[in-house]
Amino acid sequence: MSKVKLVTSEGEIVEVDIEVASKSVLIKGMIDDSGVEEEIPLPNVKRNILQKIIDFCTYIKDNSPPEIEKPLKSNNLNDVTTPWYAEFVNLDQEVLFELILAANYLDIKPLLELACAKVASLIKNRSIPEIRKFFNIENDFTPEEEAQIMEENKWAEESF
Amino acid sequence: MVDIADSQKLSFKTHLRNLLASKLIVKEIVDFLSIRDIAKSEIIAKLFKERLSSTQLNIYNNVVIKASEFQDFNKFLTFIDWYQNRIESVYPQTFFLCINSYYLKEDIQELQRPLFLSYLEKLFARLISNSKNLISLRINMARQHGDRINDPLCDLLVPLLKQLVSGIIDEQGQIVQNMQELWIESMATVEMIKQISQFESLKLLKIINCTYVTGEFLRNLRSNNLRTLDFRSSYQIEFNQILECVQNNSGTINNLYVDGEYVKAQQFVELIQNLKNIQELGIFFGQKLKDSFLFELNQKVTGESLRIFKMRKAYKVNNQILNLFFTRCFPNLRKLKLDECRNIQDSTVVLIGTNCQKLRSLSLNWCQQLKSDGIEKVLLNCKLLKKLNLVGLKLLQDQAFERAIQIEEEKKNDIHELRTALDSLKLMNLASCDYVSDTLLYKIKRNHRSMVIFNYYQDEVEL
Repeated sequence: MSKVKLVTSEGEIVEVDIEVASKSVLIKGMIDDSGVEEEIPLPNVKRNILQKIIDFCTYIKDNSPPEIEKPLKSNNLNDVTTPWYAEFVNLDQEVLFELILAANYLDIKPLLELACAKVASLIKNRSIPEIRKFFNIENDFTPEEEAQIMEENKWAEESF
Repeated sequence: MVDIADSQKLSFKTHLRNLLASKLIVKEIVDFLSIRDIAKSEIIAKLFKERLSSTQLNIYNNVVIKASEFQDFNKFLTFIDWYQNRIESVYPQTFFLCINSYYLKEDIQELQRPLFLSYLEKLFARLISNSKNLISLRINMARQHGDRINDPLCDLLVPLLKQLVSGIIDEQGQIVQNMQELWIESMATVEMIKQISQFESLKLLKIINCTYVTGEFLRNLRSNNLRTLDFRSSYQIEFNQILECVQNNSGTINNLYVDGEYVKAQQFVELIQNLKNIQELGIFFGQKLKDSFLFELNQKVTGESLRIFKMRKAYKVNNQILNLFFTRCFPNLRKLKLDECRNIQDSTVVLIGTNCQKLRSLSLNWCQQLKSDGIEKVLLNCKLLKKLNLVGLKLLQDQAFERAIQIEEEKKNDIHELRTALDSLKLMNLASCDYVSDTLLYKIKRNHRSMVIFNYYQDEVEL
């Protein structure tokens, strides 16, 4: 099977099967335009993230996409998709965020959906202070400002 | 909770900022959240000082209000009010209101009725003035039989429909209608149907469980691109009215759902002759269907196009013709329901397991001739199956599941591929199956904790 050369942000060249790489709409477009001879630079994608992406695209070549129902019924992805997909996005937040940005940049919809579902599952059913801690968001509101925001959206905090 | 080392905080924060800067990504995430979580994400955005206003996020372009997400009536009203304010300067594309809540039923229908109506009146008034982008409207009311308790709500809806019928003026100065999808459940008046029949660009029309509305205005409906018609449980919409509506829009309708209780065998044939490239077909009371119907359908469908097929209570349809029908491969069939098709035998279900491997949902409730061969085949082959309903299969035995369990044992350490349907199933209903043992169900549950299994007594199997 013929291959295409992808260049990571570190400058490393990685050879990938065309069929696998073509799961990215961006890369497919580039191959269609200029063939497989030229190296394709991916300055936004690190080596470790590219490896995750190759793993994913290889998997969806032979398997059906994750198909996660919206809105999420559970915050355990095992309940809403298959074990392989649930395990695949069981990552540190930072890697997860990088993966989302890369999936968005490379235009790989099933991966974008899966990773976003993971982020949603992390937000779901947590209180706002918990979410803030989780995403490491500094709180630079004054207590009065914060009280007002909380008051406006009070119903969202309370259990239904 | 995982804390992040200080050295990583900066890059982490940059990533999060980048993430929230892309509308597409935010939309993807928000789509997976329920309304309560959406409000939370709004708070996060505020806390993050990203100045992402609600309109930038596009969250409120798709208004979704479900009473079932609330257990407290006052909080539900607060939410309606909150939404109404949020869409003050938004022109939503879709609006979905579902008042079908077990907890709030009494408050909504009786105790707090006037208060509830006054909140909805405000919401609809807002919607009417901000309706120019609206393409999809879906309103489900709590099920009502006979009485006209939902008429005041219909009266609130009529002005909105009128507004949508009158259309808007586009850039070329032409009057255009945007309405593409209309879905109403348990609430309809003749006045509403009269308005609805004036829509010219509808793609989907569902009038479900509107038991006292008649369909004479439907013959006026001529839409240039009508794809889906659904008149389930709306008993007074007559066959002739449905047929006329289908004929007037023939050449475009791919998807049809009807009760069929009062439809004669020959009329069914006439109905499907007027459909084009059938993708979804649902008949819920198929008592009058005969073999000739399935024979005709077999001529009419192509294997590739059929995605959903539901045929309940087709008592008179024989196994032989079902066999013929499923001899063909249906690579895109996602949902199949043949509940109470009494004559169906294992030979047909074996064919289903062989030729419909992409099924997501299969329902064979009360198909009482079925033994184990068919279900075994389905479990081995349909590895994308999420729902399996097998209520009342009196001859079904543990044997049907044993081969699948054996394969799972053999491939114990392999999580990289789906071994059998047991890996993909999220729900399996085996109520009233006399010969499926609890021991077997526990065994399956132990290996598949996230699968919901119902036992003989319709109780959920718990370890």
